[in-house]
Amino acid sequence: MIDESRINIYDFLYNVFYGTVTKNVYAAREPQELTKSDVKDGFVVLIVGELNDASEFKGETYGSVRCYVEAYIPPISRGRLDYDKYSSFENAINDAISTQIANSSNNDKYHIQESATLTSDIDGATVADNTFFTFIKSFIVYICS
Amino acid sequence: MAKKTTLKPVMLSYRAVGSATAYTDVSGVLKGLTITQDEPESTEIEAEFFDSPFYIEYSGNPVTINFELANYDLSELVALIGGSVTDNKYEAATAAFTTEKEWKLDFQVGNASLVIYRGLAQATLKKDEDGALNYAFTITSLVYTDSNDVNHLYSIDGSN
Repeated sequence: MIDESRINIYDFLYNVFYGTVTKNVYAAREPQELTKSDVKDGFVVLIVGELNDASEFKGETYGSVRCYVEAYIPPISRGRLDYDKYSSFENAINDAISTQIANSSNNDKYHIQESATLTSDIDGATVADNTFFTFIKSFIVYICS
Repeated sequence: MAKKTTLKPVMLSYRAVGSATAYTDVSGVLKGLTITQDEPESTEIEAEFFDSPFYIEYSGNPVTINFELANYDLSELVALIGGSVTDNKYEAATAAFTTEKEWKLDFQVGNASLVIYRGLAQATLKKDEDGALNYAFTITSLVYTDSNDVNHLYSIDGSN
């Protein structure tokens, strides 16, 4: 595989989304216990997929990995979708990705590829006995040596 | 010596033909490096009264290594594909450029390396859909005659 640590990619994603979307950011999976803010304001989970390495040897060529941002949005009364919160999460995630792409330099190690950004359908999930609406934004990160 | 299965290339490198200097590594190679040698061409001396020929003359084909170089320093290109570099700007050669080097492919498992004594290298610019800007290399083995008038094609070093 390419000479790369997955935790560095998590760190890259964390810096892209922490504070820009929400401060409730978790890596790899949703937490088993939620804070009051998680339940009230929602949170995001970052997931790094399978690394694809293009190197024949030495891991010095380049690689790519599909990454996922899962947004967990709390419902309003009677379990209804909170349209405002949902759209603010989606817009903030889109903005964070666009800002990262705009600010990236040719010499950066990680590059988000704009044309590979996908959004999944809305769905529901239960975390620590709390229900959330979720959607997933996914994109490809290029890893350059 | 023992029987070995040789696999997993770990480094491609080159140096001047016939020299004993250190090899220069070519590391930023895309997956898909191949080594091939076509079957020899055959010429049959047909017999009039028999189904089988009197003789079949074979003439061999060279060994060919193909790979794509995706990660390179512009200054590396000059030695491999000609052109020139000044102030971090590469100017490509305007005519087809070839270079002759001794090429060595090291393996992780089995025999240590394959050496092409005199490989004619030629490269073209290439970018596939969703791929990097590469140079597609073709290295073709030529006969190398050493100072003792002994001819060489390639060797495999089994000292692992």
